[in-house]
Amino acid sequence: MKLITFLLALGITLSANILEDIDRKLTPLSAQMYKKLINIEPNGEKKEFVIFQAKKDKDKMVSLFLAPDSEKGRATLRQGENMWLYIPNVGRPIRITSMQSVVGGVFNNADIMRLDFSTEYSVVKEEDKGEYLLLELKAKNDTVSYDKLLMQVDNKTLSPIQIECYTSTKMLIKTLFYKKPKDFGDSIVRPSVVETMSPLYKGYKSIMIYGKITPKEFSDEAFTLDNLAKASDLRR
Amino acid sequence: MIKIVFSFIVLTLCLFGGEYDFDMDMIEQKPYEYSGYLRVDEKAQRLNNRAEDTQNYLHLEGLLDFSYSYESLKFKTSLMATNDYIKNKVSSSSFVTNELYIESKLTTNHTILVGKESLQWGKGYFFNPVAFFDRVKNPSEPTQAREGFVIGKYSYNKSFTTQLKNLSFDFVYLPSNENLNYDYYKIVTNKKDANNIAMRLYLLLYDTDIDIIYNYSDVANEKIGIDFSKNIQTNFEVHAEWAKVIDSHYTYLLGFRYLTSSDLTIISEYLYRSNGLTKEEIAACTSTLPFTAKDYLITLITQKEPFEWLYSSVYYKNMMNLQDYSQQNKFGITYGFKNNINIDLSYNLNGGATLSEFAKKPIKDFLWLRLTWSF
Repeated sequence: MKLITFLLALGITLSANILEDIDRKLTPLSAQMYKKLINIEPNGEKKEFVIFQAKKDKDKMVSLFLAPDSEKGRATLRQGENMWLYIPNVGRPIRITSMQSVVGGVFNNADIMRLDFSTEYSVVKEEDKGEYLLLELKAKNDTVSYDKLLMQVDNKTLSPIQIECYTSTKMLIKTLFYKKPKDFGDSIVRPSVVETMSPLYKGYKSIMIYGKITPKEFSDEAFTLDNLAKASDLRR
Repeated sequence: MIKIVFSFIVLTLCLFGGEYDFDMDMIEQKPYEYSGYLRVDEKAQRLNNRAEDTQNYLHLEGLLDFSYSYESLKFKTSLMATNDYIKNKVSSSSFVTNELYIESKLTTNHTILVGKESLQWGKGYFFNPVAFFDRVKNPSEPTQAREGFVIGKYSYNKSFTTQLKNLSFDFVYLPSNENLNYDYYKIVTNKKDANNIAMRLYLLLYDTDIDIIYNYSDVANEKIGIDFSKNIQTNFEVHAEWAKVIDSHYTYLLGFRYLTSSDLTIISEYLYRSNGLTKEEIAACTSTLPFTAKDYLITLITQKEPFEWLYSSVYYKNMMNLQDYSQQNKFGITYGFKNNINIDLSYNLNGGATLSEFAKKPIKDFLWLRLTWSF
């Protein structure tokens, strides 16, 4: 009995470790990033957004829109399950949810402001498929946007290859494709492009391109409501 | 043949190679930042006046936000210019400094600010009873940029790794006299020179935003206020505000914001003022100041991206005076073009019994076109 308990505990620990390893492969624990989001419509028309992001620990993140001009200055703050949006003209932050999208298109707030996988998910199943590992992830609570993820992970690099996102009713909401590995310096080698398609948005595609990822330390106070209007100061 | 193949490869690269490009010049950080918009509002109005049926109201507006940072100092200003025109009736312009201040971040936790700032306290979308040092919000245009007051402010901000995740404290001094903060001097301190102080304690406690506010004036009555905002479900936020003028009236607001899985957002707020006007008092006035009744219910329902129409939304807004049940209904559609132009077209209808607040308005209904170009 003790042996079974030990093996179970060991299994859970190893699974948690693999998720944390994947997280650290993707971004340092504390870092700043520049990303470009592109929404591509079925007729080929595109709209681009450029955002700056500051991240600290496993559950704190600030995003600031740098382009287009119509979105410039908008900032979102995530602290665990709490999420706020600051719009310059409104002048103060309002609570929003991870389900909605501040940019429109296939990416929602949870995709843009994604916390570490290990913060939101637990590994419930792990299968070695030869070229890749197939992980089945279950949301730790019902505030997480997707109830279940099926994640294909490169066996050698531990980078995600593809992630399918499902609701609690087992409906596929979207699929994320991780592409174009790039060396960002500071030992950060990861896919620089994430493409998203969704059966709910037939013919639409959204792309997230990582331009720059730099390890950087921030104070805890940088991730507070009082400083959300000053998110631009974090770039300095 | 080789030339043709080579040309084809180059053309293919040009067409498809750029999809994943990232122009690093775009993210260059400068010590200054600016943004703003130019806006045109055109309202085709049908009047309640028998002598004249319709009129066109044109409103032009420009906003420029500019900030400059040097080490721990930050200068910020927000300037607004407007022009209003109704043929043979109105032709006026205004230039307003909404904000103009210098802020110094002394340490991670301590900040001081001197100048004109719009504080925007409170949690309500349409009303903010606890915003003691702000100009009154117009529920018809709650997101409109507003002019601040000249203040001195000290702020303390500290984060924790407990259930109390963040605490911040503001101490604000607002002098009001004939030369400084004239509107506050005229409306709040009854045209008497006054020293006004407000203190705000903000807590992020058990994933709830809480503000506790105290306002002291050497001329006007003291005020206290409290507000909160919390997500009781991921897609369901509730908020409330309560403000009390000591030895006088009180006001409270209850509201929620609900998001469905189909991206339909419902925001609804109820406002009660103990000193607000009753149905009879509204009927007795020849003209009523907007939103001065005892209680209101305002609801905004927005469907984002209907029929997968990206960057668009359709909305319905109802503002109801619960004393006389008069109301304004608004049906609108918005679309954000890729060239930073946003269009908002709405039909607005005032209705209610004779002598009720919205029925007494000089405008019966109006078609409102708003074009905004952001830069």
